[in-house]
Amino acid sequence: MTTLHDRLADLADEAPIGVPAPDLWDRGVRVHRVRRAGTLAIITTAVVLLAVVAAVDWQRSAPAPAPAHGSAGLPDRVWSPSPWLPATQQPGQLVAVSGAEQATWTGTHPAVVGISASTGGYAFLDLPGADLEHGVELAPDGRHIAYWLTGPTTGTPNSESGPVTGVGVYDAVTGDVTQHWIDTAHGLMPDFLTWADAGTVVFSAGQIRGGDDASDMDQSSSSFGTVTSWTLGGEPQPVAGVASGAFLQGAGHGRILVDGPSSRQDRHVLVDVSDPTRPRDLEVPRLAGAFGHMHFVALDATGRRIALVPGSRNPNVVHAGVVGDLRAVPGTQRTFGVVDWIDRHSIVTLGRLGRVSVALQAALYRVDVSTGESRIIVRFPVDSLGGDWQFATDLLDAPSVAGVEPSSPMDPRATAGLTVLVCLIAGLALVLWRRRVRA
Amino acid sequence: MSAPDPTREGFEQYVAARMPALLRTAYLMTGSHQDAEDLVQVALIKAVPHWKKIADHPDPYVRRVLVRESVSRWRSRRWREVHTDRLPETPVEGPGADRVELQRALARLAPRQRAVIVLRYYEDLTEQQTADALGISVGTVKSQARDALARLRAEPLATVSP
Repeated sequence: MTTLHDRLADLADEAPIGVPAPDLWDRGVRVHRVRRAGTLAIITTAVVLLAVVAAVDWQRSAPAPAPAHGSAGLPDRVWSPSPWLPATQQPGQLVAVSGAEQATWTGTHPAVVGISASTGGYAFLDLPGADLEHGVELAPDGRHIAYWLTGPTTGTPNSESGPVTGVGVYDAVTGDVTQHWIDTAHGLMPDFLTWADAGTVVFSAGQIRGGDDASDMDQSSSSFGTVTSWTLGGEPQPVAGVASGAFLQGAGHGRILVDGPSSRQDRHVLVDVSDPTRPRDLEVPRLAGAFGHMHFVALDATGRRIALVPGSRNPNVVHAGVVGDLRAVPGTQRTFGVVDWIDRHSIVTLGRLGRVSVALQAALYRVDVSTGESRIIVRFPVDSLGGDWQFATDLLDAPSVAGVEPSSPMDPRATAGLTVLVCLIAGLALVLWRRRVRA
Repeated sequence: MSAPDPTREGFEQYVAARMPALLRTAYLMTGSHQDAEDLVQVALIKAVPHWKKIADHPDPYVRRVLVRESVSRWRSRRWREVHTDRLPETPVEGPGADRVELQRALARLAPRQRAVIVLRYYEDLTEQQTADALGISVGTVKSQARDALARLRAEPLATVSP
């Protein structure tokens, strides 16, 4: 019996008797050169493409160079921030903040963007435990941000409302957060949160009556909140002389203005938070409502003057002056609201840009309340009315500096996709090339 | 006149010495004179860029290129050629009949099985050497050899004994 080896050897006897081609070596060298050149070309192309992607990504992500001024300045314009801006824990003193959508690989979520007062750079702010549904408040000096905290409740939480369980104060210079937790069974219903001055937060929030397992009525109703003053470094205290559930009309320069008894809609109460025992009644014209993050009424440093946009429509004319003797400010017909008083003669307003609106655009104006003479101090992006932006009011009088356009980083998903695509195409091209250049 | 390149000379001496053996192996794997010659040329040309490294012991590398090229060519041809289970009519009577039957049986094997059979039972390589040449595991070599032998035994051949 023959073995398989024998039979294979027998069959192999039929193999051709080949004569070696004389140019095998030369062909081998030539094929190797061609394959190597093609491989090198493909790899070089891929590397160049990847470098282009990386360069574009880097260029769009790179922060703009910091301006030379170094000290705090007011940018002459602001931009809509990219959702892919970097985040920071210690941005330093801020000149402005705005709510914005921050993007992640899986979607977007509400966040807060700040503009550095010294560099003009934009960055998302890390606010631990923040409930951003109810907004944040920038302190007048731009160093602190107050915000509502979300956390555990003693009873069934009211999830739809957060639940809000306290107030946090973020220090933009150190990155530290001071938290004040409020005992609550189901969560708090915020009435307002504001800064009376750079070191005093004032807030009010009622107790929600029911958690997720309660009736719709209980879930959507709350008690009157106690207006509370919190001096940084101290303990929060109820503001004496202010009724529970009082509605905030204005704040600043150490005072808050809240509405008075419901029987008198034009009567308001001005309270000095450092000495709340002597509240003062003020008569304020009927208001249409606040615009964006602004208060209804802007108070001056003396507590004697106010400025506001009264009436039943908005934008409208600014009225300003000593309480009881308010006068229309000329040339302010297109004003949405008053941000603050700079001195006894000047206010900062938010209004439509230009007399003829070609595009929807707004600006901050510095306005002389006597003459109506005004000049633009900050321009907002096209199609923005600026209502989302809050400025550190102490810096509204700071030197104007050229706004620094924020970086607009590429969507990292697109960057990763392009990188993978280039690698795949290069790999495929290599395989095809090496198959094509056969010996 | 330039001095002779010793690397090239070594290659050409190897080709002259091993060409017949390589052709026999290639013929068993392809079943075609033309394909066998082409396959050997390709294997040798591909060995040129690596010759300095393999000059001392070139057989494993050349064999590896030979069998892998054979398998990949068969796979690419599958898409271009019309497959048929019937081989062309050839006389099967007489002294060459057994060769024809064996050739037909080998042709019916999958290319990797054919390569395993040739390397294991003609080249007398170990399972590990066969695995290295084909770039597969020893376990795969064993299973491919087992299946290939079973298929050969099922063919109308005289008894196949490893």
